[in-house]
Amino acid sequence: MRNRIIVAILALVSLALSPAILAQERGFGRPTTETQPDKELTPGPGWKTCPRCTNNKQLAAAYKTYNVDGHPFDPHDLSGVWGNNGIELDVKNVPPFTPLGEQMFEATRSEIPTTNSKDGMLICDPLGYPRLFAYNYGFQFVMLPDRVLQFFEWGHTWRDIWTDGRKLPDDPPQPRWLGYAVGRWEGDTLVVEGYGYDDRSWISEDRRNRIRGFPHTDQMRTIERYRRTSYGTLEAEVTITDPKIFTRSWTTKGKVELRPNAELWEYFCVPSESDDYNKRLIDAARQSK
Amino acid sequence: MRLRRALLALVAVFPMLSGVVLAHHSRAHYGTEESTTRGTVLEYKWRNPHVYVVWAVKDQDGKTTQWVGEMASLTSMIADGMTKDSLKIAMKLLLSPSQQRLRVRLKPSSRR
Repeated sequence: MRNRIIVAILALVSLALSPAILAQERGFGRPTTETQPDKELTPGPGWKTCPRCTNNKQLAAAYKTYNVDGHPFDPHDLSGVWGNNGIELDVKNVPPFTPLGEQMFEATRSEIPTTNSKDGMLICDPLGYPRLFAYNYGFQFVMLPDRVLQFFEWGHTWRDIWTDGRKLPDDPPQPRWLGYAVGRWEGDTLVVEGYGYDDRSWISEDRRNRIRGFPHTDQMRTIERYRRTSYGTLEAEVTITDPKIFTRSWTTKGKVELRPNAELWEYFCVPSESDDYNKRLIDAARQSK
Repeated sequence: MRLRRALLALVAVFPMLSGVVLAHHSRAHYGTEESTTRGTVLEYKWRNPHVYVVWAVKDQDGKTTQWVGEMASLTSMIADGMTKDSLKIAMKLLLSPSQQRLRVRLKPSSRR
């Protein structure tokens, strides 16, 4: 028996199918709302769908069902499930690197030209922060008297944003993938300061070409600003400062929509699945290099 | 029968309201080979983090090639209407990529 492994990869990027093709067969990998299901998939009565399980048509209907437009809101209550992906960092305005930053950035270059083989995501390392700001599959804020809990669907994990007046540690006893975070209100804006990050994470994958990642050191600090401008809209901003890596701060601004019809499900990076994926794809790519 | 095993990674990226399209895995390492194939489902795993499909394709010479497909995240596929019951063993598949887009269409279930 002769075994050959052919790596033929086809990206399923969403674009509309021509109506003729759709005539008699069901199709997947389509973005068109006209061909996507009207009904949300839920575990059953009383349960909700997940942020990424919702297509545009279902979300539009949910906004009517939950009277999102014009709904009264408290700007100091950020409760809710927000977005379904995160806010991609502004890679058009990446700050200039320091010499060390340039060196560390280049060190993240993939071993092979066609994939970011050094991305810890591929072996299920925690994404860390602020990568979870940029990529999270949806998150939920829960307001408590002493903190704001931020739950992420990606990894089904959470982050504590302490609002009880404590300060960030000057010398964190333990580097954390999600860092240490404290929050305060400036008017109607929740300002979150973060520090003490584990330097094994990337700030983000470099989405310009996806073969490198933006590194950081233990000196990285983040400042986030969240402002609920309507019941259904949350403005979000993150400013990243790491004087060892960048010559100036790096700010990304965006907004996320409320997902009133959703609750967080779970999305785990599964080592056994990733290992299988890496053996089949990454290793195959290495061998074909 | 000479068996050729083929590996096909199907990564679905869907447009979100934010306008951001991202995928768990980079697609940069995916080739650009395009072909329309018809096959028969051998295995279907409806699970996080990715939907996994194995199917067999028989060519004109009668040789069978086994394909392994990793689709998008389960949640993204749900948004597009796919469910745990969408594929069955022995169901016929038609996969028709177009440039960097892949259309997966299912023909009525039938036994081999």
